Amino acid sequence: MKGTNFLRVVYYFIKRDFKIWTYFKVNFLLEIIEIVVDVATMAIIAFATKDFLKQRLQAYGGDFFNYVILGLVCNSILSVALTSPSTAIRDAYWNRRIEILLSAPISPPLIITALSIGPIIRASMRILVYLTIALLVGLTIRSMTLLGLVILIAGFISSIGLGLISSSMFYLLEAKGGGDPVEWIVNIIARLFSGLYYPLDILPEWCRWLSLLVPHTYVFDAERRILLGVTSNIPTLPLHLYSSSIGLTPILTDLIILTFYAVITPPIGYYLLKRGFKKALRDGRLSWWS
Amino acid sequence: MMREVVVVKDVYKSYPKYKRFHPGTVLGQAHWFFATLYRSKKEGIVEALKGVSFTVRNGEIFAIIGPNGAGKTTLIKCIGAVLLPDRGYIEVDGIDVVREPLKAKKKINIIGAGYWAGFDWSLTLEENLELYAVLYGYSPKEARKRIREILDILKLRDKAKENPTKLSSGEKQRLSLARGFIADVPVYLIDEPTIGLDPVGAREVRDYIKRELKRRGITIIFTTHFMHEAEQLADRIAILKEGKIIALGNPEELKTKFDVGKLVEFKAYNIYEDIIKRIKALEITYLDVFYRNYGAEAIIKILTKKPEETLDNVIDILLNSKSTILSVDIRDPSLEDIYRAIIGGKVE
Repeated sequence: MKGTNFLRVVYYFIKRDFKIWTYFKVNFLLEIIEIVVDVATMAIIAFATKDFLKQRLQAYGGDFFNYVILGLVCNSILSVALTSPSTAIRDAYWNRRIEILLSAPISPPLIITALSIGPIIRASMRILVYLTIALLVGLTIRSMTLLGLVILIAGFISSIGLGLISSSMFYLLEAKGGGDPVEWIVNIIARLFSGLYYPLDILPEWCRWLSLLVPHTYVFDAERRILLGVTSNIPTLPLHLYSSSIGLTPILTDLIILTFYAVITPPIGYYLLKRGFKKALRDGRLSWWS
Repeated sequence: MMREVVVVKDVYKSYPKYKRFHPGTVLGQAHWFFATLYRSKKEGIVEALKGVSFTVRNGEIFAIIGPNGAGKTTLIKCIGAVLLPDRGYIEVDGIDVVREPLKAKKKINIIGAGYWAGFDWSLTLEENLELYAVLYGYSPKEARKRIREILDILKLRDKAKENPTKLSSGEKQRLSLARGFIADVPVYLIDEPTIGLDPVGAREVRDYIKRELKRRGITIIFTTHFMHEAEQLADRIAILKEGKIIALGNPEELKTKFDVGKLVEFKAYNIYEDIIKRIKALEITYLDVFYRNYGAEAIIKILTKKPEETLDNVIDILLNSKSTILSVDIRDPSLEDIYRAIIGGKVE
């Protein structure tokens, strides 16, 4: 398929997604209310734990509201990258669409990519609304640099790679019942051990090592340092202690690991996804109604 | 001589049979774990295709007929590159379907029975079809033109702005066909084209296939359960049974291929089980009984190589059983009669 044709397919899938989202019009309003409630909850927790967490969050400027909101925003971006490919396959499979789509002359990974872009755009719009509301409530962003964008992109690509690996499990492991091992494990580590809601140093040592397995940890750390204008290089991850001994700052360490992730995970994901589809075509398990 | 556009050579396909697993027994997230555990316990294989070979010529309408589980859909899916055969060779318009599926898909389009279920219910018919047209490389302008043509032909134009939930089941099936016909390809693979359609709708679809597609020189391979449909539409028919083609030819050839004798047909009242048993005991090839009027009236169709003798014997049986004979007829069997005998396992 030519590049222009692929872009056209992507455009039509986005158009389709947009029509589906706007089908239930009140949902938009409800979603905004949900975001306001989310931000307000975090603001209340931040107010209540202000003094307790100030010392713990020294590496990130000491403000819990800034800390958690930036974590949640980054997590939303990484989560949608992680879940979009598998959601696209699951949706097409259970809605009896996968075989029809794959009967067209377009490769399965490209179809899944095209199907994933719409939800990513939608999530981005949601994240923008979230950020706007958070800024109105009191989020303070002190600096925005190109490095911050690069780190976010590296984290996003890493998560897309993990998302492709996760989506390949749909056919490779027959993970059709609503969850797959990759997404499940990454989500648990990201939620519990990556420093999304609380600083990592309140966790036992072994948990901190576990946090190094997912790209989320590095994105949260680096983005908070950059966006909150932190100038100190207080190490927050176990790796920072080692990297500082060879002269690397925590942000640079995060970037190096994220780059490694971004280079490794997408090709692995693409390969496994192709294998998954091949297995489905061989076993006759591409669709569920025949 | 006409060019062979589809070549199917010695195709085998089997499916692994796993221990049955119900997702409902383990909820959501952990499903993959238990499914993998259970699936590792294979119970054997199901052989769906056992060395199927045939060729289809350019512009030909080719029917694959067979009972449920014969392997029709598996065969269609293998040709359509949405299922990989275990071994064998499939070629469409000079392209090896197994080695180059994406190239092959530019030459074929598969229209599955029940594909309508895959449409987006929140989009209109037009929007749904536009998406599929784009997948086949149409520009938006070309797509809209093609959609208008197809919707006109399939009498769905007035529903173009409605969403698929508003359609009757016959219209949904026509929508499924419309999606398939959007792609301008030399070969269409249609799995049960008239399933779910009322007689008028079915006739319209058959007319479209016969008239419009045949005129344009499109090659069509379709599956069906109905011999009359195959006979009416197809230039050649392949009868598939238990994964093997047991007969292949045009309708006339198929009639002469099977030496089933004559058809003796009775219409009678008061036909009970013991009468049928006694007729079955006669020297006949095949017997079929159709009951009408709440079981009061029966049509008995008997394929036999000794029609006169069978006629006399059956009349005796019926009169002795106090049945009322309404009519008797001896004639050449139709292809439908022969097909029923083949599927019933009475004709080799």
